[in-house]
Amino acid sequence: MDEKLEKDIIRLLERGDERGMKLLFQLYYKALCVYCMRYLLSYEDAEDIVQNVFVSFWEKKQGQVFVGSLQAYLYGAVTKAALKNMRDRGKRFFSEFELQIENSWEKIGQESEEQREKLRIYLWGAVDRLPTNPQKVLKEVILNNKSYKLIAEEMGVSVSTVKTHYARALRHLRKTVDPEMFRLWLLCVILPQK
Amino acid sequence: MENIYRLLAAYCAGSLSEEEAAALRKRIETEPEVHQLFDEIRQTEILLKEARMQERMSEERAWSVFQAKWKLVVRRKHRRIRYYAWGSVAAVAVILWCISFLGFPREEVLPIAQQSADIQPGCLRATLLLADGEQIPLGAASAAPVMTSAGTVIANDSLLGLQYQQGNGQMMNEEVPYHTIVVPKGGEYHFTLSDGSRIWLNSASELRFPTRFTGAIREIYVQGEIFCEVAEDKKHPFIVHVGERAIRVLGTAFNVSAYPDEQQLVTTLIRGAVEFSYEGGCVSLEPGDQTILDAAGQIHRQKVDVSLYTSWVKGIFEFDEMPLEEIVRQLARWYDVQFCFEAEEFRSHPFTGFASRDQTLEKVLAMIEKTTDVKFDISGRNVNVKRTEDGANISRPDY
Repeated sequence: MDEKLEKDIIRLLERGDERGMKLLFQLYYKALCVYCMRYLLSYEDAEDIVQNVFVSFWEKKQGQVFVGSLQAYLYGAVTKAALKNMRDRGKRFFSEFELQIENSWEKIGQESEEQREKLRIYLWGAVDRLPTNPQKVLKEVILNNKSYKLIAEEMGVSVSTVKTHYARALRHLRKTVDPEMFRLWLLCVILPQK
Repeated sequence: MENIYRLLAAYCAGSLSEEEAAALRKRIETEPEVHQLFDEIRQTEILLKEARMQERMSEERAWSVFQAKWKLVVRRKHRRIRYYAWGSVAAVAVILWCISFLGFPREEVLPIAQQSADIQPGCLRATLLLADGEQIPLGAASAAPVMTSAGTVIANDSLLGLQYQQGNGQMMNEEVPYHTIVVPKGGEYHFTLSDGSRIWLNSASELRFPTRFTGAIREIYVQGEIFCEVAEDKKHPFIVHVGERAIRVLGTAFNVSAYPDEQQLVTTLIRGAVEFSYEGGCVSLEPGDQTILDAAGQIHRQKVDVSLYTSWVKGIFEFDEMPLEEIVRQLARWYDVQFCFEAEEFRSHPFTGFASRDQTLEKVLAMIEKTTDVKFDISGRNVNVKRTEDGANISRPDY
C-alpha cells in the first residue's frame, strides 16, 4: 500500500537527503506513538521514545544502503526501546502474556479517518455510560495520566477502592463494547496514516 | 476476587512490588480465569490509551520538537565533516607554503593559511568530578556508561548526556555522594538528574548535585549559566543555590545566569513559578518575568522576551539591543577567546542580531562588522575591538 512511498523514502535517505526524514516522519510517527503506548505508562514517554528511534535511525542509516521494510524496522526498534524504558524504570511487565494479546490482533488493514472518528465516538460513549465512580477513575487515569493515589485523595476514598474501580471499569467496558469494534479499532490505529 | 482486581490495577500502573508481581504471574499461569481477566483488562486499557494518544498528539508540534533533537545530530555530523575539510585546506596550505620557497609569491598562500586557522565554535564537552576527586571527561563522542570508582554505573546517552537514576536502594540514612560537572570555556553540556529534571550547562559553568535526591528538598549548586526543566514533585521542592542566594522552584523551566564577570545574577522564568530569595528579601516570578540582582545588592524586576535568554539552549545567539561589551563576553566563553577594546566607545554600542552558535567566530564577528564601523582584529586567541579606518563617528561621544 505504501510500498512506493517507502521506496522513495529509502532512496532519499540513502542519498542523505533530509526530505526523506520528513516523509518518514509523516508516514509513521503518529502510528508508532499510538502503537507503543501499549507498552508504556506515560504519553510523553511514547513521543520521546519514537523521536529517539527516528534520530538514531537517521544517525545509523543515512547515506547507506537500506535493505528491507522501513515499517518493520521502525516497529521493531520502537518495541525494543519501549520495553527497555519499562525495565529501566523498574516496572514489572509481563512481556510473555502481553505479546499473546498482540498476536490475537495481528491482522492489518486500513480504515478512513471518518471510520476512525466513528469508532472513537462509540468508544467514549461506552465510557460515559459507566457508573459514576468507576467512570471518573477511568477518565482520570486514561485522560489525565493521574496516579491512583492522587485520585483517591481527590475523591476521598481509599487507594484500594480506586484500583478496584479501575480494573472493574475496564473489564465492564470489554464486556459491553462489541468485540467486533475492538477488532476494527485495532485495524485502524496501528496502521500508518496517509 | 477484589484482591485480583487490585493486583491487576497495580500492574497496569507499573506499581507492583517484586513479590506481588511473582504472585500475579503465578496466578495468570495457573488459573485460566485470571489469565482471561488479565487479557480483557489489558486489551481495554491498551485500546483506551491508544485512542487517547491519537487524540492528544499534534504532528506539527512533534515535528518541531523532533527537528531540534535531530538537528543536534546533523550539526555534529557536519562539524566533523568540516574538520576534515579544514584538515585538507591546511594540508594544501602546507604544500603551497613549501612551494612558495621555490619561487611562488607568498602573498597568494596567506588567505588559505589564515582560513585554516579560523576559530571553531564550542562543542558538547565537560568534566565529571566525583566526590573522591576522580575526573571523567564527558562529550558527544562518548555514549558508554560512566563507571565511578565507587562502582556506581551512570547511564550515558550520546544525545541526552548522563542519566542519573533514583535507584531502588532508598536508605534514608545512607550518605549520598555529590558529583560536580564542570563545563570549560568553549564547551556546553546537558544531562538528566536522578529525579528526571533536565539541565543544560552553558560554557564556563559548574553544577554540584547529589547523585540521588533523598531528603525532603532537592538542592543543587550552580556557578555560571544553567537552564533547568525541573521534574514536577510538589512534595520535594527544588532549590537552586547560587552563592548565598537561593531560587526555590515551584514549577518547570527557567534560566539562571550568574557569571562572576557579569557581576549580576539574572533569573528568567519560562514556565511555572519560582521564588528568588536573597539578602534583601524574596521575589516571586511569573512566566516571562526576569529578576536581576546587581553587584550593589539591588533587585530589578522586568518582563522580557524569554527567548533572548534561552536561545543558547537551542544553539543560537540572540541579541536585542545588547551592548557589544555583553555580547563579546558571551562570545569569549563560547569560542574561548579574549576581547580587548581598543575603541572604548563600542563597549556600550547596542547590537541586535541572531546567529547560529555553530559557526566560526570569524563569521559571527563579520555579521557585527557589517552593521557598524567596528572592526575585529584576531590574533591567536585575542580579539582587538577597533574602529574601521574610514569609519564615520557614529557612536563616538561628543566632546
